[in-house]
Amino acid sequence: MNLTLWIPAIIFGFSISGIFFLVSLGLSIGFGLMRVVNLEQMLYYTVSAYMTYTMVRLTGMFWLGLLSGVVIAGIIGFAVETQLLRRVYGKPMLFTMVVTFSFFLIGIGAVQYIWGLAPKPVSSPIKTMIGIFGMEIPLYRLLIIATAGAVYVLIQLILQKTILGKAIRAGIESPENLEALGININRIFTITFIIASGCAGLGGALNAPLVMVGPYMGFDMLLYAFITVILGGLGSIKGTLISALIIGQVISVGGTLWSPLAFVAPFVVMFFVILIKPTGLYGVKGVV
Amino acid sequence: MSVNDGKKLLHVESIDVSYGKLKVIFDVSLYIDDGEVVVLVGRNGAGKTTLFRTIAGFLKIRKGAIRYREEEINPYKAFEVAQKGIRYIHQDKHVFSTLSVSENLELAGHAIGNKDFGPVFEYFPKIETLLDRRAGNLSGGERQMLLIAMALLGKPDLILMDEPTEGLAPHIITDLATSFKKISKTTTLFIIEQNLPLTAQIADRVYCMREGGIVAEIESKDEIKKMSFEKYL
Repeated sequence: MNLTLWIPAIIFGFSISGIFFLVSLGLSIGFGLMRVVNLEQMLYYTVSAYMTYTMVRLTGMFWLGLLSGVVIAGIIGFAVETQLLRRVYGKPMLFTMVVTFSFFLIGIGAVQYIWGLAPKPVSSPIKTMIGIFGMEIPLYRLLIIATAGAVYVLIQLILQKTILGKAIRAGIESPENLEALGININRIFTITFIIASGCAGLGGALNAPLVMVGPYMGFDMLLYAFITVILGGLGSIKGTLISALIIGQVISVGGTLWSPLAFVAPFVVMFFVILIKPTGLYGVKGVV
Repeated sequence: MSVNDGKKLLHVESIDVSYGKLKVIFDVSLYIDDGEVVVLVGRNGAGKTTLFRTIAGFLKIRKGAIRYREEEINPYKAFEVAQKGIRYIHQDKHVFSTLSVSENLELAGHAIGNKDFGPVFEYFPKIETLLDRRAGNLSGGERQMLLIAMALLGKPDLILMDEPTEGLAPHIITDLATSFKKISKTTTLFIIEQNLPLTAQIADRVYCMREGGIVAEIESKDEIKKMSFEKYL
């Protein structure tokens, strides 16, 4: 076994998983809690990447760019949830998909207007390479893995230990029963949506140095986010993480084995998992 | 049928309710006084649950008014109605199954900042022994007890219970009937019930509903004991 090939592939795979996890959270939670397929999450991913690019250009500070990207993503998420999505709650899923995808397209149009069509490069904020089993691995990749892991732990802590988290878990099971307890479900939706949008923004900012920032980057990511969420089970955060880990490895390790696998294998994996378990790996209603 | 015009805890005045264009509640009026146990009986499809969901704020009225302590509550959202002191226990006995019993109780008291579970354990001591159990693993009777305990944690003046004894074993129904009597000393109960002997046992007044309207109100204790409301079903 050639370790020089496989160790970087596995670590790169985990970093891809980290991005997929962060970006897919909003899709998963949006469906689990609000029964809305919020495709416009990819807009927050895109806008955040552009904000990072802009701030790096203006100040040279990547981390400030990342922070501004997350904040802007959260603000847009807040506006979209309160002004648009509240009007589509309870509507058929296809309707919500059309509405959110339309907003995504409008948003991409605005992105093109502001930043143009040409892809923008963002250099990595950390150039350091560290040795693992004699391999040189970019520290930045490890940082992405650690960040995604920390976000997962933080979200689980919120869900398990705070009243907000308990309300979110309860709301995923039955929003109406939660309202009957005197809890404002719309406020729960809004807070959850801001967190999810911020996570998508974090994914976009972290991914900016790894890809060329362009207006269509959200479309590319949408496909993988969909696979991640469907494979993991809509509404399950644990499922989203496990699924992201699988898809990341399938792309990276699969692509190392035979490059076309990087594109085809995620669909093959999703196909077989859905064939055996149509709800996805953790897709039991009400479980996060 | 008389609708008392004095100060009432709840006063439903000539309401119509529709699902889209389909009208399901026709000109319904009723009242609930403080401290009463009022039972609403009627066949399936009579509109009982729709009426409760409307009072609880989940459905909007097309005409009429719903007053709670003299305040018109029909413009309020469901969570605001609950915060004002009307707790609604759904028919489906849905507890938050992935949360523990303790977490269910915590959420129930959160809206008014009540973390003191002690008083509800006096009504349902068994709940105290189940605090760490996942609510999804409770039996039907335990779920119903938990739901009533959760409603009580909101310190409501009025609890709407939609068929609380449906599907429960007879000995559990007997226990619940005893609990209803205890709870009614501090909290007004408005209950949808299909179990007529139980209705005769617990009710201070009975409303009979048929095809979306109130067709009778039985106030006489003797008539209630004789289950004379059965003829209206």
